[in-house]
Amino acid sequence: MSENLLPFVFVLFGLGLFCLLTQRNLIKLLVGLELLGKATTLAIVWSGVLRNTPDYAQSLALMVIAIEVMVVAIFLALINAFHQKSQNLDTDDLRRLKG
Amino acid sequence: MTYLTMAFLILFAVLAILLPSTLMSVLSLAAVSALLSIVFFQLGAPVAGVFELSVGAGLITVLAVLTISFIQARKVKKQIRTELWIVASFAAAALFFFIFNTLSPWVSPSSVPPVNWGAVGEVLWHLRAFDLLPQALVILSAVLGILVLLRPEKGKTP
Repeated sequence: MSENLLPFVFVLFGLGLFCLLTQRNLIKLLVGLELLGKATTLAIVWSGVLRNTPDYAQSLALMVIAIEVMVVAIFLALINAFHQKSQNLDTDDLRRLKG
Repeated sequence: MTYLTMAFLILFAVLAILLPSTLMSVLSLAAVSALLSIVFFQLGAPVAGVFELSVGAGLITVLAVLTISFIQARKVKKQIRTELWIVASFAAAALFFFIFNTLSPWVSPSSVPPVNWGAVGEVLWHLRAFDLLPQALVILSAVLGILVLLRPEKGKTP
């Protein structure tokens, strides 16, 4: 496999990071988190292809995806609970939860 | 050809970040997942591709859309122009058809290298049997956490 996917991995990771740092909507933060996870999964699979250990890389990718979906489910449950309390999704209002 | 798929993937990732509507953002993320699964197929990792397609583009999207619909049901409903949504839906469907039609020749069975499907299971159940159990425990604790988060408050019916 001759394709060099490293720049795409970095761009995807950078987009996820950019989203996490700039957005204030909780759903958008979830999107950023997902983009980070997808960049990581792609890096794992691609490194497995490069090292000619695709089976091992795929088993790692499966684990990352499984954990990722759990993170998303918990995040969405938190969003739901937060929205019930504050009626919006702005992260600035999370400061009210202090103490 | 992987580059072309990745270019579309990055495009949808940018859309997922920049689109003001959270629903459209989540749907763009689903497109990112679908395109990533195509990349996995092109790289010769079909097991990860199938898992990404079913979980990333399927389950996560359904969960996110359900949450958005719960949240929007609590808000005062705005008047939505139906015609606009119909046109947008057809435009999105046409765009997806064009993309997948463009990419499909490169994800045909002949272009995907032969893969030993049982080998991934062999790695999971034998080589990595030790860390599979903690992963199951993590998933179980996450499920319990979700149940705690979603339980109704005292005095309120669910």
